[in-house]
Amino acid sequence: MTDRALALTDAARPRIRGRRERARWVTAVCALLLALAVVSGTAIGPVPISLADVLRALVHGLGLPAAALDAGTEHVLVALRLPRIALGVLVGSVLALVGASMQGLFRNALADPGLIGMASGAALAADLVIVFAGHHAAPRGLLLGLLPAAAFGGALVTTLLVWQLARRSRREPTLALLLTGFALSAIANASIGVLSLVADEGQLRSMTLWLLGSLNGASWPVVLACLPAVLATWIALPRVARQLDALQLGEREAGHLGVDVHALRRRVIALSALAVGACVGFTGAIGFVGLIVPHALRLLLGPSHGALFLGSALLGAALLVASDSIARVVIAPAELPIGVVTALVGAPVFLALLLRQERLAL
Amino acid sequence: MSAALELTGICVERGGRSLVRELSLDLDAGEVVAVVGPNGAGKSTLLRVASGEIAPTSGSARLSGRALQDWTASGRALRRAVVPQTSDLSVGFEVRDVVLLGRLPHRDRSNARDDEAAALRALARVGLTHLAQRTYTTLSGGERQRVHLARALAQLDGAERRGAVLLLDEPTASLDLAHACAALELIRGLADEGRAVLVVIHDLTLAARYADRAVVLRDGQALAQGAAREVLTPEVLGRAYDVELVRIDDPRLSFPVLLPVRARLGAAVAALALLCAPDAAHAEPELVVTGTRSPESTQRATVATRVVTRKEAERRGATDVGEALSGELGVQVNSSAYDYLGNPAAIQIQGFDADRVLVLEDGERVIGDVGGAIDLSRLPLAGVQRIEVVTGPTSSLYGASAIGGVVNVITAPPDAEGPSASARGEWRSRNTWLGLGTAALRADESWIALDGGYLRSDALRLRSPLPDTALPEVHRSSGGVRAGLPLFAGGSLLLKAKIVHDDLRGATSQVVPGLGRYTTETPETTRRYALYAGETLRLGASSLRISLARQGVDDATGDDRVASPLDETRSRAQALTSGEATVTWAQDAHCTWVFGARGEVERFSQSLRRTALVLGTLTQSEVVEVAPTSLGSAAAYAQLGWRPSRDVTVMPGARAEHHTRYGSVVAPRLAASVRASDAVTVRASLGRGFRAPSAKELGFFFDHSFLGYRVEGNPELRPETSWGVNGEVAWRVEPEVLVRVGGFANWVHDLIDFDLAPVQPGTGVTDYTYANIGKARTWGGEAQVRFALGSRLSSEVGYCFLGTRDDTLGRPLPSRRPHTVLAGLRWSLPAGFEIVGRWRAVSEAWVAEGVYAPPFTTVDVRVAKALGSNAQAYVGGTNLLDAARDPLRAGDQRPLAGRTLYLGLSAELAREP
Repeated sequence: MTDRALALTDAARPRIRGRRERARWVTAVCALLLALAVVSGTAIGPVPISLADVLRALVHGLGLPAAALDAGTEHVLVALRLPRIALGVLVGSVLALVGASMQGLFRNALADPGLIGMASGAALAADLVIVFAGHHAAPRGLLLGLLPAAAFGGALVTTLLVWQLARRSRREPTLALLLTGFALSAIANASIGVLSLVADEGQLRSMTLWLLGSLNGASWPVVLACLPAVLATWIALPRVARQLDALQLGEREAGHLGVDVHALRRRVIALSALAVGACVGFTGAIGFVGLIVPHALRLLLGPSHGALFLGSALLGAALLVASDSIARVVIAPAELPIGVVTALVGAPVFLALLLRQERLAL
Repeated sequence: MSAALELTGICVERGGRSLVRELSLDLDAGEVVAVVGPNGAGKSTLLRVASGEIAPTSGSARLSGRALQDWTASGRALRRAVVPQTSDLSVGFEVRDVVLLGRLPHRDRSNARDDEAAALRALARVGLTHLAQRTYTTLSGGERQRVHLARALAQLDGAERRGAVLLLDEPTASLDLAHACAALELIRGLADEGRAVLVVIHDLTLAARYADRAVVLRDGQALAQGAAREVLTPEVLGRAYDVELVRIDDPRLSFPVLLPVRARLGAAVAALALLCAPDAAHAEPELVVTGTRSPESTQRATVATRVVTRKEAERRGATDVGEALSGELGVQVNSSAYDYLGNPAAIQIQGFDADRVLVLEDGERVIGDVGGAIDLSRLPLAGVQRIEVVTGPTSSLYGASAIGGVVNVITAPPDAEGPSASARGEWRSRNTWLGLGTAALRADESWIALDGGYLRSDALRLRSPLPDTALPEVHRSSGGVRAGLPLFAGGSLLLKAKIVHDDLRGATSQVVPGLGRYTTETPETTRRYALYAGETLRLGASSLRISLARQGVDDATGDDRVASPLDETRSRAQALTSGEATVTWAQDAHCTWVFGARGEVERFSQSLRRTALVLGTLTQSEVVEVAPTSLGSAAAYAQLGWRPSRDVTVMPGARAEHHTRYGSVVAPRLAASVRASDAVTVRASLGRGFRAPSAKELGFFFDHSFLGYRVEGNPELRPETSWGVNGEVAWRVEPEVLVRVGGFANWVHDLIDFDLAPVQPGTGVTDYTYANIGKARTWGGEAQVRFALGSRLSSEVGYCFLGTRDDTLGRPLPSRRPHTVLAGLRWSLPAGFEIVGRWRAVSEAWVAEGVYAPPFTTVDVRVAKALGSNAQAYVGGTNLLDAARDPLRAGDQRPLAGRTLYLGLSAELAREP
């Protein structure tokens, strides 16, 4: 028996190695894309900075002997561009990771971070702040501080509400979550509609911009504020990758494999709400990354969450940073909303992959 | 060596429906056990219990000798694997990845390389090596099935083979003939290597060929169980599937071939089937808790327990607990045990009444007795889910004084998630209006229920123009709130509060020589409250329960002579405060211990305010008849439920009680039950009883001289002691026929009873007092047959004999009825009609020298019509033959109320599941 099995292992080895290698290659390409996006992102912008200058600033920043940049360029690089890129990396990776885990959790390729109401809740809270805090002629600084806090709170409260309501349903828990999430999103969206009726011109514009998202609020304190939740997601989500794999068999079968499905669901949703809430507060709702990145990678890598998570984090970050670079230069000195760019960049790639899918699957 | 998988007395209920009933099954290493049966027989439910996915409602499921629910999820997954019938895996994993998922439970102890090797071994075993890299979604149904089998093999790879359990749900359902045979060959081989295999299978021939043993299920019950070839016979299977089969034992084959010939449903049968189609209402919950304080199935309970559910009470036309129990075989609810001393509904079990039958509400003793016994007619049915009756001194958990038995009135948390409600409204003869209702809300483990009840009825007059009443005018309202809260994992809190307000208005008249006829109104107001807080901590099958309870009864009885300033009001106050802690410890598969300690303080006081003529002037005086008296008692008890084998339970127990007034006593008790076969259960018990005299028996004073009698307490009383034995055989002849035959005997020393002999002859006033009767015995037996004709017609017939003897005076104990015969019928007709009929005949009883209580017969009929699925309208009558007491006949104990007609509506609302 054992001998036979070993012989089979040997026979099967080359093909297996090939499959592993594909995952490795795809991951490497994603990492390369991210590096490219980061480097070009530092250089591209309304104020072009040469790669040599970027390197010089980096060497100088490390305290090594190198000529300092002029103050204006250094300010653009260190205070504006780098935090923007860092935020892009954090938010992009979180959105893609959360998207991947949601798709796994709900066993639905159309799941994304907004699925169970997080995004709508955050948007409603943000719009409430825009409309009502704006009416009272609050100082602009206060508004800027209040917005992320409200969006964060909105995402958490909506998720909690969805969770609690779904627990009271007699349906299969996952389906219950989906349906309650859908219902609450609808309520939030309707409320946003009502808000848009009472909003004045300026507020309406702010609301729309927030919905499409932007990284232009980035600064080092903002990056630091997002970091804990993002780190938690980076560390904790990959640990449940195999359990999410098992969940694809069905909740009952996962239970037979020793997976506490209820705890898994709770953990993934809590982490997602936390990370998404923390990020979208500063950037607004950035669509598409969480849906498309994991889905595209799944077409390339297959459904195993281990490889999917790493690839999604890298590719999500790359997509967002690259999109931000594009958003900054296309209509400079003005900026395109980043959501527009992610969709314009991501969708064609996604479509191309989809058309190739048949070949990949067979 | 315990079995790999041990299922003992499994019952599963969902939403009041019994899915699996009383199923026991051991799965040993190396054997294949096949589960067969028609659709909906409970096969999948059984598999879900065996996998640990759901916990049984009662019974125990053990994997390698340890309760399934006590294993960690991954520990369990290392020892048992499940192959589902179908999987909804729809993403494009590679086959090898699917098999690798089976290695998930090993993630802490294995590395990627070993996992890989295990997965490939498993794939080779099912012959799918060549498909290792194929995408799962491109496989055929049969291939997918084998992938999941490989996954299960990979899951058990590395675990100890011996005793690893493999559960398969119809593994051959999507396989062609060759693959089906191959799969079962493989399964057989896996078992031969030491694994234990439980397989649900439809192909009877394959089952007969490959399985060592088989279980045939129908309606959640095992019709037969044993060696596969002996069990899989045309007779058994025909009964299970309603189909005609042939079995071919061809000498050229090593196994029998089973073929269906035709379904048994001909045209006539189909018409009958419509009349007798399963009716869920006939299968009522069969769980009892009284014997051990944790749920057991009625059939398996060590202690014989009778159950009257709320629905059954409704079918009996009952408005209170007393009426619900009257007519239960072996239980006598006397309309009046002591004639004038008025116990409209005192219970008598095995010839014992008064305090020798403990009346409990959810395990807490009820106080507030009238004339020595709890008046069951004053316990409203609001919120009551069922009433359990345990006869004889059997369980050690409730009190040594339960010589005759225990009546446990049980409320239960709402079954339905979300809001639910039940209500019943009724009009009855004597202008009686009854309303009962419960509204509840449940969200997961948290629930709250509000109970309310109201009853009013006119007085029943004895002699028509006179106001004398046999039954007073009643206004009774009750309200309660119950709530359960989960505190944390395994802990829950139960809170209950209840108030009953009773307003009775009676009247008597009396001719006083020379003065004429006096009418006296006898109003009585009783307020009763009960508070309860209990906390339960669960750890696996073990639990700790701590409870505090407080009950109070304030009662005021008046004697108001009409048109005269002379009156008197007697006020009584009684309160019971108790605390109890109970530990249920499931030591292992065989031993479950219950330990507990209880302390209680009971207070009693009585005073009389009277307006009387003293030397020609009206004087008001207040007399303390019973000075506030406190009686304390503490008890410790232990009871062991020991199952030396699957079919034998021995339950020894002991209860030590210490009373502040009577010192200490130890009451040992022993109960045992043996399941002689799947159909026959034998139960026996032996117990010691001890009852201290109650406060009233010691110090009560009740002067009704103007009515010709006085009752006086006797401070010299000694406690009663007793020994009792009980035995019972329950035989389920067929699934539809149950026969029970039982007997009992009790020997009592120092029985406390009324001494009816006049103490001071010649004064015209009879003095009653309490006395110890040196020696007394009660013995008896009962036989009962319950059978169902189809599933729409069920019926019961029973006979009960009771013998009593006062050995000191050489005569029977008074008012014990030797013979009772009972017959009942319940028939569900199409279109939602239901007819219930009961007939009961009770023989003559000796009361005193030359005085006999006359025999009587009662007939009850009730017709109900379902209105939709939730409501029912009904009309009925109790005591249709109008057996009623003759007020002029001494010792007559026929029912006080004669023929009673009623008309009502009941509804049960719950959100659809």
